[in-house]
Amino acid sequence: MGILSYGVKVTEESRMEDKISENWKRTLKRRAILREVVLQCILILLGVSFLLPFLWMISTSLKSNEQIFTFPPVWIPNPVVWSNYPKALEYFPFFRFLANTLYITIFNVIAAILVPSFVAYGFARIKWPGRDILFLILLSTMMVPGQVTMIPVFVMFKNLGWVGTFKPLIIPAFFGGGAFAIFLMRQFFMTIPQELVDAAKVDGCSHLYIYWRIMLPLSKPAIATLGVFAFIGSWRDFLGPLIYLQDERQYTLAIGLRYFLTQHGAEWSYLMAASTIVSIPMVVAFFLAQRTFIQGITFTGIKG
Amino acid sequence: MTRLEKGELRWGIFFILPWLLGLIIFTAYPIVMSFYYSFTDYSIVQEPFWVGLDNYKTLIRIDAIFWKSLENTFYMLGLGLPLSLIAGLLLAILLNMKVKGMAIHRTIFYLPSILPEVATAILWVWLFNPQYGLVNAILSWFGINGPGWLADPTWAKPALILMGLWGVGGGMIIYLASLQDVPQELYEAAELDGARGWQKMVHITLPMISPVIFFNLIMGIIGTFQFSVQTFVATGGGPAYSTMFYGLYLYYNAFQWWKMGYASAMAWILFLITLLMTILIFKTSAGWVYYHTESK
Amino acid sequence: MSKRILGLVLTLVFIISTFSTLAYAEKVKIVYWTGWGGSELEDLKKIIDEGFNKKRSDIEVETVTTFGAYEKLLAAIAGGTPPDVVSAVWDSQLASLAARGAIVPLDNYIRKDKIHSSDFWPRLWQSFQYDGKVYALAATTNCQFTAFNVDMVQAAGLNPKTPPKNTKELYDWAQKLTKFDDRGNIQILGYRPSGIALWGRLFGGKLYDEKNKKITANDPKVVEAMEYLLSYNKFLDPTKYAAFTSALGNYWSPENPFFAGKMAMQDYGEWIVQFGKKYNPKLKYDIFPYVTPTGIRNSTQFGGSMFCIPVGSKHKDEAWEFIKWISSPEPMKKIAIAFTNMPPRIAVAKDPEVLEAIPVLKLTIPLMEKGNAFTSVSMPVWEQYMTELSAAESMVINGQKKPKEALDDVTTRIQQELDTFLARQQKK
Repeated sequence: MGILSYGVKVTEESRMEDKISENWKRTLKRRAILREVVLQCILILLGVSFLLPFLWMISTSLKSNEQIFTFPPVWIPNPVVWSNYPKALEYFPFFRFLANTLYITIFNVIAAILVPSFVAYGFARIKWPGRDILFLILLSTMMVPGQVTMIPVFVMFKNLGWVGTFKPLIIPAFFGGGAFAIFLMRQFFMTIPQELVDAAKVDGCSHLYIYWRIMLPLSKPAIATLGVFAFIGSWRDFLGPLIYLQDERQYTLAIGLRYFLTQHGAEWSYLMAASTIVSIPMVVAFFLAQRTFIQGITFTGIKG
Repeated sequence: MTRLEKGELRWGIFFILPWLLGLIIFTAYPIVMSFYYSFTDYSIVQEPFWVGLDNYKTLIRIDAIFWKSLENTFYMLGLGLPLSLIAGLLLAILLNMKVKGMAIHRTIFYLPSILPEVATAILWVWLFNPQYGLVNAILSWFGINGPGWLADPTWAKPALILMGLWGVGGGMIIYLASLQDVPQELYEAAELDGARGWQKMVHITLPMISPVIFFNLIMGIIGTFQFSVQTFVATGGGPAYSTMFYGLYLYYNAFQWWKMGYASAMAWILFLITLLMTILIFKTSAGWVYYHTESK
Repeated sequence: MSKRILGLVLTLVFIISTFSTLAYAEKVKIVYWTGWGGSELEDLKKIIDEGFNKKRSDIEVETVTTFGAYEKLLAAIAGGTPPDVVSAVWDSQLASLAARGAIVPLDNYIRKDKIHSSDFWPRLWQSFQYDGKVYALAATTNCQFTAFNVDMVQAAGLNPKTPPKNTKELYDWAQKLTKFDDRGNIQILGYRPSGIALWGRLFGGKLYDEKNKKITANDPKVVEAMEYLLSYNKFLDPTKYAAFTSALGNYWSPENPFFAGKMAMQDYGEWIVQFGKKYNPKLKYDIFPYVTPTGIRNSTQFGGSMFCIPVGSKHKDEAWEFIKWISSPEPMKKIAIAFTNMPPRIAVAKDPEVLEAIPVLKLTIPLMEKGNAFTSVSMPVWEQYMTELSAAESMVINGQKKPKEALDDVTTRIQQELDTFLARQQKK
């Protein structure tokens, strides 16, 4: 845009410049189209290679065994064995695993909506001694590898008798909700104009009121993002359920799928069917929350 | 302290209480305890039994698998991590351009990264099947006789790297967001000075998003040492320990062989390593990370 | 509005979770973890229901399957929520559990209820013990041998009436029975011996010197066995072999490799009778004992699930009642016939009905009585020993280490593990 110049006297020169700029505009347009085409090609090529595994997963899930173990590979199953799905559900108690996963996930989402913003307010809009030091500590805890705390936490839960229940997968979420979430919310709160807070204080509002009535409503996109992240994180959580859930009847989708793998090693059609089934909720969640996602990350600004 | 200050202090603590309690219960106390456990033999079925430096000595002097797991992990650090960082960045730059149908493209690239890792691992085990898998089938179109991938000790790690690259969308989104934050004026000013695409990239884009690259790098290093779901499901550490990574070996020691003291020692060694690497990167960061915002 | 929906959802969630934990029992309910699954699980549950749950007014057994995931037991014990009885324990795991005090010795119960060790196969009774105490009883056991597909053997020009006697003949058969496709991939596998723990024994070596508590993985005979396993690489490329096995059907299904015609020979125990009936009644098979280098074929590896009581069980006495019942002649006979396994009690094994239902017992009983019958190695750090051995085997087959070197490494490492473990047990 900067190449073209504006506000020129309408003179002979400008008419000649108009002619030159006409040609230039055409060249630019051609360049733009070329650019578009090249980029689209690259994108489509990459996109197809990213899509391929998906398609292969679905394709395999609808094949019969003979069609799976053939070379060269067959793309379109013939016949389409839709019955693989009900069969897979026979071996793979999807609904029970789904219920378990939902149970755990819902609590985690609730915690993610309530807690990090609450804590972040304490770090963002209240001035008190030691605040910044504690915030630094919060940041540094992100660097502590999970393995260091994993074992003693397990021992702790074992002594409480909570191993083999859902509690270890739910309760910790209410104690802070993760340093990253708190960090994001705090950054977001910092972008809310100080004047609003000051005005409320002048009116004699308590911090609780400010938090509940001013900060929260303004933070809906950020909180929604946290909720979505928590949903996805809890849904996919593997190590937690692996360590703490012992009865198959309690398994989540993630663990259940792996369990299914150990039982039915090479039954690829069922495995792919089960994998597809397990992946669908995530795809749905993504489409529902798409806008929230991108918005949320931009809003909270992961910089500095 | 004035009454106002005291009041603010009380409010401050009140709000951060959940996190503070969590810090003590789930972080501080466990860190101390795991340090203690690392000097014991603790099978959890029996009480911890003090053994001094034995765990550390065994790890460093006798345990060949410990060294193999370090070797494997550094392989990933050296090859897998840079690849995924660069791929994520390139993809983000590509997707940041004004091309039609961008929403669809972004979806396609981001989606794999939110699928449950178990599902992707199982899918890729099938894709990498040496006889019937799609990967070798495609290779055969080009006349290449594909290797054994996950069944071959030499190719198992590259296979895992490829598997990981499919999920690069996660990092890409973060880069994308930060790319969109780069002020347009900088680009316009550069164009007026006659800068071309390549130069704009190196002198504007990269420095402006360097904090994000920095962040991703550190998180990536820590992540490579963690338990990897995909490795656990796809290979379990084999074949022949070629994919036995540090986090995986730690898990096995702790939760399958019930050597929690030993595993705690591994955890602390890990802590040290990541700390050293983080400090190193921090020190060198002054040279290439450009802080254009400040956290108040 | 959304708050109200949230509240409703929460309430629903709480209601559902409460209902799922409601328990209503007057009998003492004990939880039994079994490693059996599929149709065997159904049969087992029926036998337990009719023979125990309905007949007893004081105890009820809830059978839960862990589908063969035997390592879950330690997880449960470590987590503090073990079952009351468990049979998802291999005989080789027994030492590991007993040494860590994870299971309860049964000697007092045995004495009180007058269970006679002489009723059981002597070597089997030995495998119930660790450090002089009895820790388990069994309802089933199995002796292993090699089975072959008669039609495939004949088609390859071999004589099904004279199966391999020694390792050389086995190799010969394996090679002749293996078929490749035009891309060099394996289509039908003749045979590939695997499991250095087993083959080390067949070659005359031992993996563990119980008396001196020494690991003997690098015993020359074991090294020889490893060389033998390696020798199959000559016609079975390791990568292609791995690719082939990774695409095989589930062992416990009609896609079982042997019964689906993908393998010409495979190792089995008495359960082959049941498999044959269920998966492919038309397949003609025959069996022969494991071969040895010397040609003497009187070896078998036996073992099976052990019924034990975890230390954290809250109903140990009731658990014992169940174990006592399931290892008594009547239930044992029913289970043996249903699963086609070998009964641990000698009299039950020689019962004509049992012999009729499980023809292969004709071969295996003499092996168990008089032959070289051994169990898999049983010692306190068994899990790691087995992991290391199979990794060593894998490294040898893939050409990363030489047999002796690999086995030396295993010996050094596991010896160190064992010594440390025993030293610490002493101090405690």
